Amino acid sequence: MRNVLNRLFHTANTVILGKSRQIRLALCCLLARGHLLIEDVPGVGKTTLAHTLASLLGLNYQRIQFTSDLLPADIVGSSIFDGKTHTFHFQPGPIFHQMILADEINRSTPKAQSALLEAMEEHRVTVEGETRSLPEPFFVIATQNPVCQIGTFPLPESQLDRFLMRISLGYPDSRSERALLKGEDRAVLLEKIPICLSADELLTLQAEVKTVHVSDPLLDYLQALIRFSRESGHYEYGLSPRAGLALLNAARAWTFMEGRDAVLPEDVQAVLGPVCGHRLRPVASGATNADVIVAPMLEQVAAV
Amino acid sequence: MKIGATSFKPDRTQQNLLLFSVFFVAAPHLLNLGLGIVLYFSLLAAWRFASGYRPALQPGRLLLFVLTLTGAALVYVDYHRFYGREAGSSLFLVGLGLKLMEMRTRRDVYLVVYLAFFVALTQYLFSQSVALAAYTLAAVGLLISVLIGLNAGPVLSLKIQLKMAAVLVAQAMPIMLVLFLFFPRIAGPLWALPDDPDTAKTGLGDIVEPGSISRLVLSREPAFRVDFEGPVPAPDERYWRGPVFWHTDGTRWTLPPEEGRHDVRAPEFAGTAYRYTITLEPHQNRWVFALDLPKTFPGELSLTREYLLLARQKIGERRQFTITSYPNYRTGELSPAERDLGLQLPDEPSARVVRLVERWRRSSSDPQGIVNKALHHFREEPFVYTLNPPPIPDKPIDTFLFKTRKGFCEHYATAFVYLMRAAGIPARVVTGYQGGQWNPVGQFLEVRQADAHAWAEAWLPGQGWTRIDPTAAVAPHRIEQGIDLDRQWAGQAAGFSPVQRVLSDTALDFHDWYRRVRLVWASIDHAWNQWVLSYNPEHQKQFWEALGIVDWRGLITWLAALSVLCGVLVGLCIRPRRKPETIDPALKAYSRFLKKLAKRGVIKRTGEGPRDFALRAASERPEAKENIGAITALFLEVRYGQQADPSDIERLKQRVKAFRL
Repeated sequence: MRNVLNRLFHTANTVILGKSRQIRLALCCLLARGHLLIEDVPGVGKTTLAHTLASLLGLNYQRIQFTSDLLPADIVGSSIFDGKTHTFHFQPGPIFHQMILADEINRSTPKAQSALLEAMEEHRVTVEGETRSLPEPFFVIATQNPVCQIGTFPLPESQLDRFLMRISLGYPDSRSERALLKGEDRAVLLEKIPICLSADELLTLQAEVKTVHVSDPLLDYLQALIRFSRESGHYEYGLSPRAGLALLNAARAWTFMEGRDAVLPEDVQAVLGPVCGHRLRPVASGATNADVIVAPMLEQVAAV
Repeated sequence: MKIGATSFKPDRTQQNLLLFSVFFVAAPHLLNLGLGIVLYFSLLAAWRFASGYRPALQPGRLLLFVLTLTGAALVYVDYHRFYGREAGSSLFLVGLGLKLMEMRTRRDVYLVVYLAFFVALTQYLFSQSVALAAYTLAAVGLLISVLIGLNAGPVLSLKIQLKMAAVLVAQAMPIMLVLFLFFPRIAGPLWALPDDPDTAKTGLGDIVEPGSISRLVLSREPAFRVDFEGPVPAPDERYWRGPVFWHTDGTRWTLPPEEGRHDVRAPEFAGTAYRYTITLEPHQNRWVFALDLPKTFPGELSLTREYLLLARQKIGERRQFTITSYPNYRTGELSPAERDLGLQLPDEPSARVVRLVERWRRSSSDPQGIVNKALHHFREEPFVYTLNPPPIPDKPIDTFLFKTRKGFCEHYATAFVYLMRAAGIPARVVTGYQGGQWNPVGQFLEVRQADAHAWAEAWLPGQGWTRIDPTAAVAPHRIEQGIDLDRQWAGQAAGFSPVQRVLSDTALDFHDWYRRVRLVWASIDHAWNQWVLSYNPEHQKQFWEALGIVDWRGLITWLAALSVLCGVLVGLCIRPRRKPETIDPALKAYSRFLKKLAKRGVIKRTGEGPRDFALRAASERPEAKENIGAITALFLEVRYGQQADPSDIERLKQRVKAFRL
């Protein structure tokens, strides 16, 4: 199984150049059954990353472009009158796919945003009084522009909390950029990549992640981190219990990908920034970089 | 310890905090030092603040040199010397300001902070009030927060920095208390301060003339406070005796030059005894004010023939004395010399005085009768008791008696004594304080400068010197209720227009509230005096004896007991948090491993995970790479792994034990 993961990882690296940490985190997020938020300026490969993952996993994939006039029905679907049978047929919206790319989620109104976010949390949608389950696995990659840009509706804290991780891609280094400029068109490349993992296999992997061992000393460390976020005075508010669970799940997935069977403090540290960066707001500075935000936790909480 | 001597640029927030703290520390000197020095210091601080934003403003060496000379010159112009209380403190302030200007290295910043600590200390040379103590505590907290910021770098937010400093100060308080109580006290002040000739003082003076007492009447400053050990005298018995005046030139009454010892004839005492402890504010004279008349008093005091208590030295700092007084007394015979002094008149009395006195003499032959006639005269004729008597440039007593008839207590006392002497009865003027305000909060009597008073004493056969207060005849309420400052303030506002009257009502309301606040504040101040400032070797000895400490062994026993108690308390606070960590044997072994590495300079950072640390340690100590890897792997397996095997723990222990670098 782990070979499969390695192959997947390497293939993705050939499409998205010089971003191996981000790809790892995205896979980790997927294995932990969480949703991913990518925040960055346009054009750095957010969509390509989502598309690559979908192709590699053989998941059926749908992209929803969030615009300011997007309505909830455009996401979940609506009933349409069939002239022949004189009945209403439910026409499923784009949400009924295994992998959703919610592009530029903060361009749309909060109403449309909440329709997606409800689906993410419950794994089902209720349309016209009828509850419909979403397919499994169900994975949302949302992208957003940095909030300071014009025409955006920033996601409130409660909805940011629904995303397991928030990562940003950043500009590639000059070598990767050169390779990108020289290489094939990414769209063509995407057509060619093989499916490495089936949906069923992904579900099995996700189940296996849950069996990764977590010892009491590790939980001590995790709780110390959470306590620090609440009591140190560095942050306006501390991490929620949901954030604690998210941190634990992500650390398990990371450990699994590393090929070990017990979570170590380093595994928690590896995912701390992406998992907690968007859930904390530092008091002293206006930093938005996740690694800067969690730096005091990493430095000041004893790791053994 | 090596403190970086390299160029140092503190964060701007930190620098502003430093400047604010330094300014905060220096601020009370505004009251103590010359305006020039204060302005000079403020200018330098402001300059430094500005140059934090525009580095180009930083002065060069030449300018600094000129600034230094200017500062020294300022001190010299103000005080004509460089030592002494004011001049020395000014010099420190100048130095602090100059050091601010040349903060270049980290060492300089430390120096500024330590200088600021010292400047905070110099304030106690000027005042030791409870307010200043609280202020200094806050200042020390601020300076500590600066030090914390200096050591922690920009990691901490200002709020945390201040909180940590506050916690440190709070933790230091018990230690401070123990040192205060147990550190051997030294008798007298630790260092003698040269007399400052220009020290302003309020209080009774050594002459009496029109206006010498009424100028005190709006002063709220306390003169002294009294704690009674038993009954408290009624308001009309509260005469606090001060200097006694025999000699007059017609306008002013003066004290004789310092005289040799006289035999003091002890009066006969009767009636209730009042035992009390008086806490005198410094007044730069030797007088100790006692309730009429003192019988027993501490040995360091002496009694003059006028029954005035004198201290050996000028009362230059707050002092406490325990005295017993009897309001009923009878002094003995009059010596011929005293009779001469008591009948001295500057010149022949005027015809109208002679006429008035002759009329009294005719109707009554005995001195008591004449005294009563005189008091009757003051009561029946239109005499007015007022704070603002018209000025009388020439022959003040005569003019006052027959023309203006408006006066304050010194007018009545001096006029009465003059009349008695003209009638052939020995008399003298006594100054002191009368009344005082009972503080129900602190249960003590507070006598303020406004309570200053002058009265008369006449020598009557059979009774001896007898106190007669002509002011009581004119204005009985002055004696019964005391000077009511608040009413007087309001009275000044009341007067002319309705608007002003409304204002004065508000003023009265406000003063009612203000009076209550004042009472509480006065009792805090008094308690501070009683418990903190007067804690001298004698009180310390009493306190130690109460604890059963008689020699150094007892002291050491107590200190040891206190240390054990502190240790237990601290232990109780810390233990629960450590518990889970110390139990794990794997962690114990791993800590030993870490210690061994730390000895060789490879130190694990707080937040560093074991695996990351192992990689770093291996790269720093390649020769031990294998061992480090094996020990870390074992430790990780035992501590975080699924099934910890007891044999693994043993193996870990063995390997750590064998681990050498």
